[in-house]
Amino acid sequence: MSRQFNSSLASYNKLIDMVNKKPKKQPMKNTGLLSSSRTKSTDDKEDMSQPINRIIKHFNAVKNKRSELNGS
Amino acid sequence: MALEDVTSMFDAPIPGQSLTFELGSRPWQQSPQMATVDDTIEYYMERMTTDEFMNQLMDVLELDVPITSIVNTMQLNSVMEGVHSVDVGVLVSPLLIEMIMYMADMAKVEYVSGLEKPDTSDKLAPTKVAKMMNKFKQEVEDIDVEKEISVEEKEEIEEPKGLMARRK
Repeated sequence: MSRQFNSSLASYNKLIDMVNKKPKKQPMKNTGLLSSSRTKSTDDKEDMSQPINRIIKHFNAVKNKRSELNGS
Repeated sequence: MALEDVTSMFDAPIPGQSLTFELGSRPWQQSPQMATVDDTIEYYMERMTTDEFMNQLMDVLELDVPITSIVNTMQLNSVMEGVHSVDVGVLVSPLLIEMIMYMADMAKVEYVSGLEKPDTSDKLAPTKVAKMMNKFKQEVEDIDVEKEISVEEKEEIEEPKGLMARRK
């Protein structure tokens, strides 16, 4: 294998880290009067205007298909 | 191994080589044909799902060429041709890797993903073995040709039998 820097490999590893470290949706804990009344709906939804989120969506679809095929 | 190190050290562009052409004369110095990630994905998917590409890809994968290297070459080539920009290429690469792995799984072809940690053992890579075998085969063929030529030459030289021929 070549020792030259492979940007695709680095990019793949970075994307895998991003997919794995993605925080799961958590219900809001603060219900007091002074707590923020803003819903987190905008934060929870992935911003599809960002190219990386669209890539992650496609990536996950192919990855799920592959794991279905391999039976894991 | 030492020879490989030396050749890789000199296998690089000369400093300033990129400045020897007029600015904008190269495809990568122009605006890319595909500006968005979605267009680029569509472009690659269209090309990757053809029978011709599939057959070639499976042949290459069977030679144990890592998928990451294939994808890197593909996207760098497209950047060079001015299809998309470097950053779009880097963004799209993981999807292409995953897609090729999926295609190889579908075709039940064993492949090297390139995501594994590099093997530091002294085991010879199959590509090197194939290269050495080809070299050896060529040498054997050359020796055979030389032998055939020398036998033919011997047969052609006949001893003179005339009255005026020199006696031994």
